[in-house]
Amino acid sequence: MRDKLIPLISAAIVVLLQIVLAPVISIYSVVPNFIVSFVIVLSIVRREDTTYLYAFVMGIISDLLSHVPLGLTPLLLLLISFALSRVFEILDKSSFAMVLVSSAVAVLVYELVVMIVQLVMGYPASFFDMLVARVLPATVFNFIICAILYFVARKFPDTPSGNDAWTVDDSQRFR
Amino acid sequence: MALNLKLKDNPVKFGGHLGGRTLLVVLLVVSLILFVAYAREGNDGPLHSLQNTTSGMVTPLTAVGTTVGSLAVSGTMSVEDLTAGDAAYNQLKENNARLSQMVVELEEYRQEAARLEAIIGLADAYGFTSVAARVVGYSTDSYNRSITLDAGSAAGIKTGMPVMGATGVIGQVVSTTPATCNVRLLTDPQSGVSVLIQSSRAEGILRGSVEGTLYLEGIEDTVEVKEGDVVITSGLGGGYYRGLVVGMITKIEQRPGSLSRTIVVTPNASFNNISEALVVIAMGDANAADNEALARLVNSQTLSDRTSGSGDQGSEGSGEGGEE
Repeated sequence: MRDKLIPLISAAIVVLLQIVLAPVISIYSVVPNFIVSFVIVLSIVRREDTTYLYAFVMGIISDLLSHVPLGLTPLLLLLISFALSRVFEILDKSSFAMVLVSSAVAVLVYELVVMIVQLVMGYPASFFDMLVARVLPATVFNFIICAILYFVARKFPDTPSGNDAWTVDDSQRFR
Repeated sequence: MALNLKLKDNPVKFGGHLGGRTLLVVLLVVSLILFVAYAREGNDGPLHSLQNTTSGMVTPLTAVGTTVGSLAVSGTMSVEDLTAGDAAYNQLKENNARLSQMVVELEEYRQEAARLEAIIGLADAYGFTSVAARVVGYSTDSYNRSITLDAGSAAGIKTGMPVMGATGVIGQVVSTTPATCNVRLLTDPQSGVSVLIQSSRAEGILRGSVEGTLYLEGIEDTVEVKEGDVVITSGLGGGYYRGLVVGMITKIEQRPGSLSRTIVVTPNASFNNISEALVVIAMGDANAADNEALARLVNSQTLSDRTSGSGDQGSEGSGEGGEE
């Protein structure tokens, strides 16, 4: 029960942070995304729950709170979550360096794809301007949040040390 | 150790493969459908409305953050003010004296203009009716520079209405809920305002940019543009009313060998820590004023024609106006 409650409460806190804190701490109009960072860290830490559902629901919430096209963030988070789960079948998630590198790449991919979609949908700016003024600062911002969230997640004793990506419980249902 | 070699000896069971993959595929398809539907529908579509409604619903929470942020900025500014030196104090004193003198002069001009307008019967084209509102939220993503105000459609605010800060235009209403409205700031790259340079009356488009700078585009190369020229809204294209102060030209760049130039406008209103704003809901119609003046010109022409006996071909409408 506790294993399921901790991520749930953490998700609620993260949504609250996104609503209350994120707009206030924006730097040069670059707003951090606590929700994306949370899902990425959750995909790496992976407790005994379905990260896909978290990726989908949190992605929808993120899109509803912003003006990013609805459906884009859950789509990307689901793909990132899947990719990370496969990657950490090989990599050691207890290695801080591996986690940082993976989360940085995941955040960069997310920001790049969102930027490209915005440009395709007619956002009036050049690729280079967007890359310099939006994608790279946002990547750094969200990467720092990922690192903080991972550091906090490691403090919880229930964080599994091994990879439980595709195991099943006694009920034979996918976690 | 970077590699989780333990897994090599004990391969992960993939018993949940089918269920997990099915769930993943279903959620991906739902996300894709949502995305496509959102991209294809207009700004008034149900998904856009849902997004706006959600933003409106979380306004009380965003207001908490905005208030705390404003308090922090005010505190920082107070500390800066307290630690300001004598030089800054003297500078402010000089500015105050100069501005006081300007206020007196401008009041004289205003009264003179009002008298002249009364003489020729010209309607006040630049008086506006507005709704005051507090800023209760800032943009929650990196691609939109916007603010949320605590007044919405219930207060008479509609999409497209211009929004003024303390000293000039700051943006335009892009969506409303009964209790809130979302304002796209001038500095947003998606923002575009039809403006004119006050001195030369040359018209152009003021656009925001990713870095937040305002660029004046569409000014013909033959038009002389100087730093310090005031830029006001032209009223063309709808949305913004005519005559609202936007800012001042502060930089003109022309590359050697190139005909086009880059004109940078510094907004009159500050976009940092906006706490209140005015939504302009009605304004003296400049076109109506122009039409009125034209009608009077026609009437006087008709009257002079009649008195000189050169004919009575004036229109009936103008004839009636002349009799008035």
